Amino acid sequence: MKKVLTKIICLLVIFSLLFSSSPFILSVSGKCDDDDTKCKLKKQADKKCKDADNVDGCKMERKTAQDKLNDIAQQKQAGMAPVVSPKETDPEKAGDTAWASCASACDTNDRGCYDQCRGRAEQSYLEVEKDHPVDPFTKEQHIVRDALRDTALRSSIEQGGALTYEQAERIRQESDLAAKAEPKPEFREQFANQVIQQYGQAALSLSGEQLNQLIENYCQQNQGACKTTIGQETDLTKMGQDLLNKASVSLYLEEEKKEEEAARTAAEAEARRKAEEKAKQQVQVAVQQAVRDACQVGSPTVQIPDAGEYSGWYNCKTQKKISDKEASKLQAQYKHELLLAQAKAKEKIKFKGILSQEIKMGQSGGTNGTSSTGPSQDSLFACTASPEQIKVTGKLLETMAADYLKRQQENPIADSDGDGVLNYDDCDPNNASYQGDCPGMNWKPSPRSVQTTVNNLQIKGIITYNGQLAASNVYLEVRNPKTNRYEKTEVEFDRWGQFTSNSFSTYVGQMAEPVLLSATVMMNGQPRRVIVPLNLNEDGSLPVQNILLENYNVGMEEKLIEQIRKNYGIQIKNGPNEEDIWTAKEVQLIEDTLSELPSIFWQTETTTFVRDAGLDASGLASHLAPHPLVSLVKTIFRTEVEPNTVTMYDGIHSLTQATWARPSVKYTTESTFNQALIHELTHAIQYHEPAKNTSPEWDMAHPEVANWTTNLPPSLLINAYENPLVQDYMDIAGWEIDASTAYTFQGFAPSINLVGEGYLNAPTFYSKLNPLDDMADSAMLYVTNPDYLRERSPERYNWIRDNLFDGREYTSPQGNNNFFDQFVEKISLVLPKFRALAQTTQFPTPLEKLENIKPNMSREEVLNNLSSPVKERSILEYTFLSYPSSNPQIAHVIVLKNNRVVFIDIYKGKENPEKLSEYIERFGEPEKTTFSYFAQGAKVLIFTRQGIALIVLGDSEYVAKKQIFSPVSIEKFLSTLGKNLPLSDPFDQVGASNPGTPENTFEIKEGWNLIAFPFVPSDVWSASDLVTDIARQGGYITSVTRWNNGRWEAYIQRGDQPYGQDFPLEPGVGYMLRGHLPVNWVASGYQITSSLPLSLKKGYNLVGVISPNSYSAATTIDAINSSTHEETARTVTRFESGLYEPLVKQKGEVYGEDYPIEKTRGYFIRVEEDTNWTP
Amino acid sequence: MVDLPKLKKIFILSGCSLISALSVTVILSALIFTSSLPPDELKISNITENSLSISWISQKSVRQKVYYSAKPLNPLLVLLAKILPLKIDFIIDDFGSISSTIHHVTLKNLEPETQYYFAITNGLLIYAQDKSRKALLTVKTTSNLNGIPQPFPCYGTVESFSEDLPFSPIVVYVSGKDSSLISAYTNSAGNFSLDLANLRTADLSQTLNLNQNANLILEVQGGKWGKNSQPLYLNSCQPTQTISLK
Repeated sequence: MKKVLTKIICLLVIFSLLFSSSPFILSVSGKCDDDDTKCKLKKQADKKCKDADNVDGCKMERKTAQDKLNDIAQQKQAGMAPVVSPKETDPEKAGDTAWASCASACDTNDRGCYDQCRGRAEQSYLEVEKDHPVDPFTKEQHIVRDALRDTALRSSIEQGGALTYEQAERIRQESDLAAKAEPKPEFREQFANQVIQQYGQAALSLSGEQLNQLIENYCQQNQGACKTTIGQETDLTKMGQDLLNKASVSLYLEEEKKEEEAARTAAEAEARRKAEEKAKQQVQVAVQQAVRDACQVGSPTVQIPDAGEYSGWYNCKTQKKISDKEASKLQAQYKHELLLAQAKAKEKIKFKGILSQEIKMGQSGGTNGTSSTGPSQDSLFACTASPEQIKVTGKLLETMAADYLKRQQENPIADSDGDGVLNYDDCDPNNASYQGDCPGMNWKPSPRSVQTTVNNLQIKGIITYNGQLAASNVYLEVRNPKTNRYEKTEVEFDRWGQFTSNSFSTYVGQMAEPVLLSATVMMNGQPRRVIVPLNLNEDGSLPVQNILLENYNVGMEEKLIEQIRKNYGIQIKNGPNEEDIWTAKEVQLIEDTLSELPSIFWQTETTTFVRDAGLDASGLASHLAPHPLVSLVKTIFRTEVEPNTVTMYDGIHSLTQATWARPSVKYTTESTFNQALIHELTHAIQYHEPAKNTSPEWDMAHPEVANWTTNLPPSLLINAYENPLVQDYMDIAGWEIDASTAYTFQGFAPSINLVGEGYLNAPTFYSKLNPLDDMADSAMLYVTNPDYLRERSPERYNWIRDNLFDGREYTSPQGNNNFFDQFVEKISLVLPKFRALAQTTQFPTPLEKLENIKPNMSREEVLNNLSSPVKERSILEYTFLSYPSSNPQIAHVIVLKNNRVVFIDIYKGKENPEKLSEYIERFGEPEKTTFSYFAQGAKVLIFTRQGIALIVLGDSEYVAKKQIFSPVSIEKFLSTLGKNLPLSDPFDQVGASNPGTPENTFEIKEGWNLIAFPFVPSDVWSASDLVTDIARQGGYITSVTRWNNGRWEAYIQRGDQPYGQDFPLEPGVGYMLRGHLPVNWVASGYQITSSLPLSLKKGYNLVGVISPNSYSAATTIDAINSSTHEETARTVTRFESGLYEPLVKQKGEVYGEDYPIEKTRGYFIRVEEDTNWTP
Repeated sequence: MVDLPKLKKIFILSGCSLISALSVTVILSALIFTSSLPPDELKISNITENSLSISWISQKSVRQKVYYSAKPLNPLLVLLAKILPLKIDFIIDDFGSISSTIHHVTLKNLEPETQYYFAITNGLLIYAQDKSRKALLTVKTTSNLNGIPQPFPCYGTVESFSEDLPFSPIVVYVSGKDSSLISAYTNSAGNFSLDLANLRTADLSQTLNLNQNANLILEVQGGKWGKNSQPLYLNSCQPTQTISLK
């Protein structure tokens, strides 16, 4: 029994040994490593002790072994490097060996020795790892392992002093085990493969619970496989690993593909469903319309064929679908009522007796139809008219349309006139191979028309829109008096929209009733079913256009456009894109405006109006500026691209095609539309050469310019300043041209310097720019707000009245809609002194005066030269003076420090071109060229020895900005003024992470964002600027909110519509932005290199912390309190992903997790009393 | 006279028994590990348009992580994610390398009005459902708030008797009558702070109107170290009354 028990226990032991993963079991049966001297000596001694017959001999052996070990330890402690076997490839093992051989010699209380050994072990580890960088631990596991090891070591040392080698080793192994306490990758793969094999595709549908159960089962069947231990290599073979990976990946990819396919199928199905739904709705609308129209004939019912589920009979009273039975009943009732009525009028109606005679296509034509049958029960329906009324003339037409189609397919017609439309205008009779190629050359269809002729009961017509087929499903429908149903004949089209009825038939008795032409036509971009009665008893040729216009408003804009062309000689053209279409309302507005203007505005002969939904303003910096008064309508009178063309835009596509082009951004009122139109038409007058193209009447009225000519291209002046009319206006307005610069050209614009005081009384901000816009805006005001113009500048008013309007005067609108006042009010929010300054400041600032400003000049000298700036801001020790440039969005800036000029930033632009090559010729190559925040592709060329930096746009040969400073070394420049210059184009990095310029890049997310400016913003000065600039870079925010005196103040802008008051943006202030389109917004500004003092008010303050020092939330509280020597601040709160995260420090206790203070973020700081703090 | 062979047998027998017991212990440990229970007391808090927090307690002190995606998660793919190049976003405990029975994960930079799916894993098992096996781990972020409230920080201390080193984190929840749930966790000193301005109405559509009728409750959850709750008063939450785990 005992033997049996012994055997069972031993079997259990063997079983346990096989499946146990306990490391110490392995260590019992393991051999000593080659480098493990201690192990070898110990085993040697143990063996001798086992064999020794006496205890003393055994003790001697062990002492000898210990002495040897001590000797080794002494040698190592004396500085010998740990021995690393050159064959060793495992860094961990090498480190362990070194540690073992060294630590075993340490005295158990000698912590210094252990430290030394640890260093050596690490050295060995690193040596091997250098050539064999195999790390069994992930980074994450290392963290866990080290943390556990340190914790355990510290704990053990604190509790019991120094560790023995065995204790340290055990802790190490345990921490390794804990760190890797997860299944082996091999197990995962094997398990995954098993699941995949077992379940196939269904494996992907297993729930987490099912999968967990399978894992547990597997672990039970494969004990040990689910737990990894250090030093024990997996016994799972690598064989098949690749296969498993492949299977898993392919399964995943297959699933992914399946998902994609499913998504695509779903999208397609959705699109199909929507299309079907849309088509169904269209059919429904068309049917409703058809029912309405057809019912006008007088029938009680109408049948709609070929309309799917909407086909069938409809009750004309209710307009609802009814059954055949109900229809028959209604028709019978109707007949009965009709019979009664006709019976009453019997005496007056002469029954003709020719009934139900059918005239068919192909019958010998000429006169009337042929009678075929006798009277029928339905004969009374023919009593209202006589068949003699039908005029059927001419001979039967051949089916020319089919012939055209065939021939045109064989010889396609090219767009010979190049207008982008294939139509009759493209026909060339000289080259026509067949006379039918260009039929009706004398007849030009209007853009959208329906014309029909009836010949010999064959109807021929055309329905076109800009020469393209504009209708489909065209039928001729005739009521069959026998059945009282409409019988229809489908009409075929050729490529030009011409149709010819091939088998049209009608009933003689029915001729008094109109034949119906039904068609689906496009109206306002939507297909609509129209039914047009063709009164065949007319002359056989009836323009259906009028019917369409009267009944359906189709073609109204075409009619107006044609009217405008005839009356004013102005062509109204749609733009190149689908959405670039003039609406009827807009055309009407043009017509209304033109009708109010004297002939000079529309007698410039070649003026064309083009509609364009959005302007791609790339590279057109000077045109980017929207008109400030009518900024919601972007108009341009462009001579250089399309002569004498006014283009009306909904908005401007910015460089990044941003939100300006959104459909919602359109002109909002009729008045702004008209204002823009008058402004641009005035430009057309300025560029128009009066002598050649004005009316004789106008020439007679203006003899001073009538005979004036120029050598420039006919009808168009490149330089409007050469126009005597403009010169005349400049005289009365006070504008003068510097004679030394007048009338010279620099490639793209006249180079003139304006002098004089014309800008002083210019009536609008925009009109202060130059005499041309002055005149254009004044003309606009003359019509739309004459009282204001008269008050502001009577000279201008009188001149415009006498020279442009032939004495005609207008009245101002009622109410307070003075847009200039509104505009001034708006910008006054940002520039409070604007109105006063407008009277004293020159617009734009004369460049020669700016060039006089030099570094180290005093503030007084600057003001004496340039008068007061339009804006002044002080940040730290710097003062920024802004002066207007020719571009209303870019200012000249003069930076002062201690009331002395340190930096001058002059905008050159296209109006004041300077060639880069001239500078290079004078100064040589720049010392450094880098990028700029000024614009995409802009580069800065730095000439530090001359104290000049030039900003050039892309590859332009002209200077966009010139910056002047005191000459310094390049090193000093780059560490001071040029410190913030980007090393790569920051605009290229929009949308991606921007590690090079973290302090200038703001990640604006969808939702609320709390930001602060760590610099003085140069391009965005106000909340509205911020909205615009973010939009320019592809983002979209609608709200900029600041915290002011304990409450939020919001500036909101949706599209171009502002709500709330605009406010300036400052560094050191936090702003909450509401984002709708995420963007990495890159801003530009002037670097602040020192601390920005904060004036904290009692309660919450929303601030940005600008300092060369680094702060965390807790150290911020400490710093504030240390400056006040009291516990003034307790809370710093950041805003992260929609959540406030407060950090509180009170009486030394920190509540919450500390976090670093970032310069581009805003923070709430709460203080208990007013405090000034310099971070 | 000593019976040496018998003594030898007894010695071997004892040794075998000891080794056997140790081996069985090792095997059982492995099985217990694989039999970890699903997450308990699962809570979703701090839901905003861009973020949310998930907290739960586990049977053992382990480090767990959360896989999340805007598409439904497949447990098998989550399992394979560690060894195959599958891109599934995950986030580990807010407590870093600390193993604990209480877990708190905060997801940030999420898309507004988007449904997110989660799976919690301890490295081996994947839980896509909570302990009741009913609730699928999904949550939808909110739409953008029209306005933003003023901060309202509350802070305090949680007393615990944890012997864990270096510390045992405790999750702190606040909720009110008809309000959302917000959460934070204690720092190494056992102190916490959270902002009541993060509270929203139950439907998450707007910020909660903080007044004395809000009936706020402060709840602390320490996993194996216990939990507790107490009323939270607006006028005495800076700091709150110290709360102890029970």
